[in-house]
Amino acid sequence: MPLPPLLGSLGAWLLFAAIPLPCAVAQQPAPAVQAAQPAADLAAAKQEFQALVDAYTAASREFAKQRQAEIEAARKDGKPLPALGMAAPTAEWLPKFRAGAEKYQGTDAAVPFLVWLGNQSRGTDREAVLATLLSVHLQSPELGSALRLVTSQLQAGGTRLINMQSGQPSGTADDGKAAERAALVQAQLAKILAGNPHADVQAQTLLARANLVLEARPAADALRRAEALDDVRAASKLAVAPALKAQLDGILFEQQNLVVGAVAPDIEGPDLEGVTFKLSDYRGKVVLLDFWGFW
Amino acid sequence: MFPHERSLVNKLAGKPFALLGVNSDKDLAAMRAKYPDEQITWRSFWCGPDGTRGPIPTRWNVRGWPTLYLLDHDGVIRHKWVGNPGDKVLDAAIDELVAAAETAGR
Repeated sequence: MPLPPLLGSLGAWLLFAAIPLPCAVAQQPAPAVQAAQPAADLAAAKQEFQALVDAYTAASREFAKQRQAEIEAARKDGKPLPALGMAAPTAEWLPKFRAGAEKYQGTDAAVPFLVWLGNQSRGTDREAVLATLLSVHLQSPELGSALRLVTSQLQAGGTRLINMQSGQPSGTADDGKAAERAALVQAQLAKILAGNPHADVQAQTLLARANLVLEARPAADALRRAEALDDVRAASKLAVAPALKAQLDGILFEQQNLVVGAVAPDIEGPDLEGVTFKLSDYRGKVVLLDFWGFW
Repeated sequence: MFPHERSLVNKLAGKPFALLGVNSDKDLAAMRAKYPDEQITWRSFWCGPDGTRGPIPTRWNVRGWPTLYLLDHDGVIRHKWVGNPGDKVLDAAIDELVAAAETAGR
């Protein structure tokens, strides 16, 4: 079955974008308490951030397209594949995002810029960004966007390296520090839960903690999954933003009704000719239910 | 996946088995123009003009395509795959459940 066309073309540049660069992220000593900020300024800053992300995405895509063409040309001529990686355009974009983080330093508006920088850095640079987010911005309503950065530390070294030839992830081997990293992530999530006063950030943090268990492969044991579902339930009660609440309720529904051993929820809807029918019409038969599309 | 699904439908004709699709194309007419009807020989729900964000994939929390659920004859979910599990895995799981359905139906 064909993938959505987007995946095919984006796969290549995502691969490049996933390579963090070892560039320094300047961290100025920041005020201990975050300054209050008018909502209008925050909205303008978010727009500024989004414009920067869009421009970066376009540049990455263009870069990936060119590299893809080079690779194909080399393959056609039977030449060795060109070396890639550090030539990705990320390096020249880091200062732009760093400038945003500095411009809005100490305010909520700095958070998305810091999160972006954290996602593109590794090692001590990434740790420095996280330290700023979890101290200066601990009480920020924007902190939910930093959760992926927190939980991604579970991957070896906090980074995922890609073998450019095979396209397969490499460098994700257990370096013997998995337990240490897991404890660090749990401690940072606990710090947010203890220190951030915003209901949606609380809900997002509970969800992040639950997802560590629910998305674990091989699957976590039943007790841990039950605890994780309690987190999702608690998060759903807390959530204010409608999209977040819907996401949480979707996960609860899936974990309760769409798991092996559960009776499948009924479906009623039109077929491709417009005739309404039900999944339960096929009770008594084994049913292979295939979510598909050509797009 | 489609050729194998077509062969499954043929192979299991007359057995207690049904292949049902949940189609997430936003525009059915455009889809049909590109892919003639004979490619898809089994019945599908249509998710409506919102496609992958339509009511059925939303309720089923589907985030990857294809996603496959295999239900036994009592409607109980017995397998779930996000991404194509491969013909062998799929066939073995279906054969086991179809045999059980036939035994239960006797």
